[in-house]
Amino acid sequence: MVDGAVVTKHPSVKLLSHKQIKTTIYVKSKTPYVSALKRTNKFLRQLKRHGAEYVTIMGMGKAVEKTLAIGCHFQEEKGKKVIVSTQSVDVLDEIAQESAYESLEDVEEEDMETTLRKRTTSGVIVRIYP
Amino acid sequence: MSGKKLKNKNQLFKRQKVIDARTIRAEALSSLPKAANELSESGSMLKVSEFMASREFEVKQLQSAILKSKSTSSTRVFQALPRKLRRRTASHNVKRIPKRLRNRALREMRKSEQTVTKGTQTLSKKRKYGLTAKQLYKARMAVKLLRLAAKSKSMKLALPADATASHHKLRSRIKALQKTIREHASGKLQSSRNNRLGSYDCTGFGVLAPKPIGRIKYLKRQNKFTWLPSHVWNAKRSHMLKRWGYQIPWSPTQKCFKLTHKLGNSVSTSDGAMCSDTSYMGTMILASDDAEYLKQLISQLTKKRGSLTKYRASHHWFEGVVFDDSKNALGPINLLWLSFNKCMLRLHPAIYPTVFERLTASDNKKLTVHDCRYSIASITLTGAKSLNALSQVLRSTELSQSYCQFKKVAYITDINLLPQRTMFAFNAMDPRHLSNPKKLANSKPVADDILQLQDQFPQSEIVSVLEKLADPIEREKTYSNQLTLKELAARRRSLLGSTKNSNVIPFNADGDPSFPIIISKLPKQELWVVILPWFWHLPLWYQLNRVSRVHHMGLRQLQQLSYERHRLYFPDDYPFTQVGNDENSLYKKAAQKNFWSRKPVSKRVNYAKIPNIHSEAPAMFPGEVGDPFCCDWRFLQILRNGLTYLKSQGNECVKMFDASRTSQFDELNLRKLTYVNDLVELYGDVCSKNLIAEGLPLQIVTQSAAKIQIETPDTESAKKTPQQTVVSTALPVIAVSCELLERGHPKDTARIYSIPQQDLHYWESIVQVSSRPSGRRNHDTAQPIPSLHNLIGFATSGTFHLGQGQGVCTGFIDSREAILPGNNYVLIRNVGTNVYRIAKWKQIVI
Repeated sequence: MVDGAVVTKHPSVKLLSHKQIKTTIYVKSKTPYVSALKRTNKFLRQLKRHGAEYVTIMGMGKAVEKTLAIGCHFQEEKGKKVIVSTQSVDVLDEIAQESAYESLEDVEEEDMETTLRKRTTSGVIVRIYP
Repeated sequence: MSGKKLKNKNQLFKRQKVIDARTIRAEALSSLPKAANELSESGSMLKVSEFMASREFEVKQLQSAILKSKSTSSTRVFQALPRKLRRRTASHNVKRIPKRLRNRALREMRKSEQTVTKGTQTLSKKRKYGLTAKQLYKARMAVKLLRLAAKSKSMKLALPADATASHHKLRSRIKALQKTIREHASGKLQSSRNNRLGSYDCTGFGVLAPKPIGRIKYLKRQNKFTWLPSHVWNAKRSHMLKRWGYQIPWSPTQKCFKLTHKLGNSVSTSDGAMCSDTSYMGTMILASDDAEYLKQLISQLTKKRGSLTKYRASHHWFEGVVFDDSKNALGPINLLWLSFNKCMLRLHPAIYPTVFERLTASDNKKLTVHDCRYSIASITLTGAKSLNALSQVLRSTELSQSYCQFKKVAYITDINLLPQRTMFAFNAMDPRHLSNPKKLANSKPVADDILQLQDQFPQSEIVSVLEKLADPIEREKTYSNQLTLKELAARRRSLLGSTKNSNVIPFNADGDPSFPIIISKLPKQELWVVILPWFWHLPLWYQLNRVSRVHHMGLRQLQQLSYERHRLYFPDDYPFTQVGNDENSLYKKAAQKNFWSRKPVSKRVNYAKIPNIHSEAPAMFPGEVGDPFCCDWRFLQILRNGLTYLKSQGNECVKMFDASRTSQFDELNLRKLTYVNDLVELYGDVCSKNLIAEGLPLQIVTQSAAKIQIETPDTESAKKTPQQTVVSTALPVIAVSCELLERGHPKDTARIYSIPQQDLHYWESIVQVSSRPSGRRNHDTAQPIPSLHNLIGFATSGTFHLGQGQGVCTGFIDSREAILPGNNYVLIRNVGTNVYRIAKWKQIVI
């Protein structure tokens, strides 16, 4: 491990709001496409219960394409109103920091001091109306 | 006259109502305009709009029928409540029903001619007759004792030793109490407590602390197992577990497996929190004037890791393994350096006395050890709302930078978002000052605020609070003027007249108590831990559990969460420690075996008769190998060590046995080791105590897989026979988490195998599912069977992982096998089956 290498990546900032939690899907690069469709359908069914107007699907980085594909499915196949917007997401990376006291060779990765660094990535927000 | 009973008017009305609700109307064709002339026997063409309108009408009818039918079937109002809020007593005690439904409930109760109660009777109103003179006297004496104890408590007196000692009789206890009260009244005895609640600091200075004196009523019940501060609260709501000298909540009485998965993990769908009383985790404060000495000591204790600069200088929590003098792992440890001269250790109660004795045994003047098991309590929280829930019940007494930071991030949901060193420490006021939990103003932190959290760490402020928490005198001071519920209610009442409408009793810096509190992130375990003085735990606990969507949990849930996060759970997943080994090979084994042997023979798995487990079965185990009821680490150790020995003897392709001869003995009457079957027989010798195995069967390798260096056991210098070496050398293992790539899920004590070289092609085809002719995966292919010498480990805990949607298990595998290049896959087989599933493993660095 060299000085300045990325040790871990942190997730994006998510804030607590019951309504948002129940109507937002964060698409991962690992999320299976059909699973995302099923979840969106489930959320659409429950919209009224949470008093929301639309389901939000968010994806960034590698998952942007999949997120848009889900949006396309609901627009084309299901004939729903879909609004797509882009955003910049600030994320934090943990960077290895060589301290003055030890060399990094004999120290395990988790025992190293790290510092946070901000990075901006682009993401998409897809709103699906029922 | 037929046997049918005639229904009365009311019943007929109800019956009609149900029938009405359940009938689904369909649109008649004739109602459609111009439909009549197009109708024919063979069907007819429809217009699109008409067809659509008709289907829409039908769907709406169907939906309304479902709704109507649902509303007619529900008869009582408490049936409409969610499962969590249902109370059995709600059918006669109207207070168990939420206020907005109460009037309806009362009406329903009157209608069904039920008796309405308003809660249980108080003790004094219960009947007193029917007792003999002796029984009456005894009952009255018991009440008298409680009254006297309450009186002495409110006089700020400590309970006299004669009153708390368990061997004393009731009358002598009463006398002792009366004496102290009399002495206090006459001015001979000064009050020894600084509050009316009986709170005091119970620290052991260099010795293990005595059990805390709680309420005199419950003293006898804590002779063997101490209660946690929230015991009574938890005993009403959870199943309790008596172990390690404590009574610990095991699991809530309501089912909560999925709830824990949904709320407890740091996922975006979590919108609540799970909290647990973890006061059973022992806290120890180590202090020394000689900073270098303390560093050496911690370095020894944690194999050079806990004393690294990261932990020692900059207030990171160290979460690792604690070792004993002979470098054997004891169990997990959480360590926080308060300053260079002082550190705080948190240990599991199973290993706490061992470590404590080791630290105090060296009897030197350099080190002071405080046993704070009963003077520092803790709460563990997990889930998106943990910080928010805490922020709703905690208020700082003074302007504090740390508290401001805490307020700022209170709405952040994900614990992983915050830096590794996230700690909030401040002086909080009594949580009972708030009449109910109240939300703070919504702040919207962005990534820059989190960077600030890292850069502007209020070190001096946090250190001062930490010092205050670690100091027994300061802890004692925090209890001064701790208010009783009555006093709090009186203050609240006096506020009613004031114009200011607030739900909080204002803090008075001169008289009101404040206490130091730490809210800290444990980055590896992804948990929030709240550390505070013992007698402040309960006020916080009560308030915390009033926050909406905060649920309590027990040990079982903590185990589930650590499994779902691919972490090891002590003691079940620590077989390389003495405690973990005993848990596995004594406690769990006995339980499983007992469970199995209780079943009739025809209803249980016959472990001796399971065909096709291995390509060749050893003579001793025609079916399942090793002990089927636990992870048989001794068997694995002998097998793996024996195989290494066989290979070192130039025996490259090991055979199960030689068909032409039976096992051989050498001139010293020791078993000759030539074939795999000899190793299994050697294990049989150990089981039958013909050969004594020394030490634990496992030894953990803490390095990451890339850095592992394996030492070969030295047979010559130790002057041991090869048999003794095989049996007594601990097997180096690494902790792994395996994800199944196919259907099925692993269970506890599943067997882990390496993939034989010749079958690699088959298993690769299973992994790569892209070429499927039918579009579906074929699960019914004939599996090649590995041999016994492919056994490389056991799974300690495994089940279907709800988060990943596949089977996942935590286990240990031979580290010598793990470092072979390109070795990412293993096979997993459940006990008592002959089906192998391929899985991908990843090391868990501990």
